[in-house]
Amino acid sequence: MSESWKDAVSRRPLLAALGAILGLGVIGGVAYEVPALVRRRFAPSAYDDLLAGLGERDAANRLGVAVLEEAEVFEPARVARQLRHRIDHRPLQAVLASDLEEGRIVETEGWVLPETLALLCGLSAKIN
Amino acid sequence: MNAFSDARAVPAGTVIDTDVAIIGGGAAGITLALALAGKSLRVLMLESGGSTLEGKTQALYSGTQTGIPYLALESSRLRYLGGSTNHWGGWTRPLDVSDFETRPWLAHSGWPFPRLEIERYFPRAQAFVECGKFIYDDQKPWTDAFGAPIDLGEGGVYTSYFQFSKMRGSILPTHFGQRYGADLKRVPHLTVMLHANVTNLGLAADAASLDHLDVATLGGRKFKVKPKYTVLATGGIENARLLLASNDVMPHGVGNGHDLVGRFFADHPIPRQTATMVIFDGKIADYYQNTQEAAGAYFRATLSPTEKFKSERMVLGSLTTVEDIVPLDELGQAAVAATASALGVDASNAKAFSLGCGMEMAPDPSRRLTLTDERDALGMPRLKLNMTISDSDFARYRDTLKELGRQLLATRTGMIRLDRATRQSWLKVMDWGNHHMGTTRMSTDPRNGVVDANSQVHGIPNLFVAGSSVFPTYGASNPTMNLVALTLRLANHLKGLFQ
Repeated sequence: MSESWKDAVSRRPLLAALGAILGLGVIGGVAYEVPALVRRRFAPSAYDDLLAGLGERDAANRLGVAVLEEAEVFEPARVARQLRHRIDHRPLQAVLASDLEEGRIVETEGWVLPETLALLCGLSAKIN
Repeated sequence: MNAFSDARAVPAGTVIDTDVAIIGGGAAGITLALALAGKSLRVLMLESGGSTLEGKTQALYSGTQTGIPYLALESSRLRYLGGSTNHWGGWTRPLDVSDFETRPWLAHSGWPFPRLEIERYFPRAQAFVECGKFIYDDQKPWTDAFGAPIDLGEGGVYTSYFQFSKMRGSILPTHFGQRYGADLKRVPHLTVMLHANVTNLGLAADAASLDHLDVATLGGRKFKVKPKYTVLATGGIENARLLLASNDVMPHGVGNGHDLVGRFFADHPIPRQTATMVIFDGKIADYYQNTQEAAGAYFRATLSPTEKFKSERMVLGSLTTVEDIVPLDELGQAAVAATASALGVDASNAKAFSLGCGMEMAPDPSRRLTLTDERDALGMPRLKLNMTISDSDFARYRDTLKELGRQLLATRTGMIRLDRATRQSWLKVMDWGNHHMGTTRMSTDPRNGVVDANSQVHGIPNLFVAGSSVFPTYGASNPTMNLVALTLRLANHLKGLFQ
């Protein structure tokens, strides 16, 4: 058995291991990057701090289109100011809970929604 | 055991004396006859039909209509022994406490007494309609057997419960004529006379009392009955017709001095597909969608406004039922995904259910029965019904649905879509309960009611009315068990008059 053969043998598991690591890296990278890519379908905006709470942006956008269709006026900057004041750095779930407790609900195509959620969806749809 | 007698065998011109005449052999008439048993009173029940449906008798119910579409008058009730219990669905629920109260925001509302007044008759009424133990919203037996209700948290809507008249062969509720026929035959001094059509309530010349009843058969035979007391129990439509048509002494009809007879007609609107309810985890107890059996009773859940919500938000009674699983459109799927995500709940197994409803109507004097020039085979004037429903009735029910939606979101249980936004869309899905009410409404003040708190026609001390025609406000609950309870109360009152 020559040294070169031994070297070759010892390199195979090493390469396999490197390959596996690389493969996992690619898979992991894809898994990480796909949502990022999806996220990137929505252009950065001045309202991302607000929209970050919307986990399902595609769905929120679709719902937001319906919100905008029924809104007489929807001025993004004004809505954003209103939302920032209302959210005030609280988690979205807590804000929605306040909406519901205080009866701030709206109707969009018949769907009864917390007002904050409807406004966020409308904002999302407006800027995309 | 006595056999039923038949008016067709009574010689023309006969005059029959009796202590109590009961006109009509439906739920109220049969209940009253059985409740009066044991008092040694001579009771005569006059039933227009036979023991089974007969076309010519049923045709006596035909009439005309104006206003919004409504059920044909000849098909929304049945004219033979047992009356409309022969086609009822067996859905049973006591009226709410607030149904009896005067609601300041609701014109013409309120009974002359609180629910407490008839509550003591509920157990016996429950037995008459064969609904098992009186459980309803004391829900433990239901939830112990079938699991917890939908989590609605604190709010204006709660899970309430129907019970059902006993189902023989799994489908039929109690048909009073069949079920109690043998019992009626066993009552001493009770005569049940079939094919006996009362065509006139004959007032004494001074109009201060009822003197006699004119009775006719479809074959043309005529005779009279002279009762000490008479109870009109022919249903919410026919009670008014007979009072209005009996106009030989009082030109506007009996008990109609204030033009109230036939007014305030009501039914329970039953719109279908009023809303779509999504449950995020897809799980609801079986008793929402289908009748279940527990504790020896049949029951089904419904969603009702609380007394507090009704009062504070000025909404009428309603009983919302969960119906079929339905698909969601693209917007609906987006609404569910976006909302569940924002609420931090998993909606991957979400299911959507269509909702139906039984609604209470606001009292409306223009929703009324009047006589026409057309005559039936007995020569009695036929009726015309002017049917109405106000937009505010729909709007009020919509407020209840919206509150249900709020509660579902607040508990992160689900969400709701309101499927009816315009009057036309409501009317398009409208069905009716066949619950005829209100046309001889009860009030202590003769200017506001046809009968007093004892169901006596104002001004005529020996004429009473039984059945849901005396309901001045209606609630959302199905009337049968409630009118049976009210009839038991009337029976007690009548017994007192003979002591």
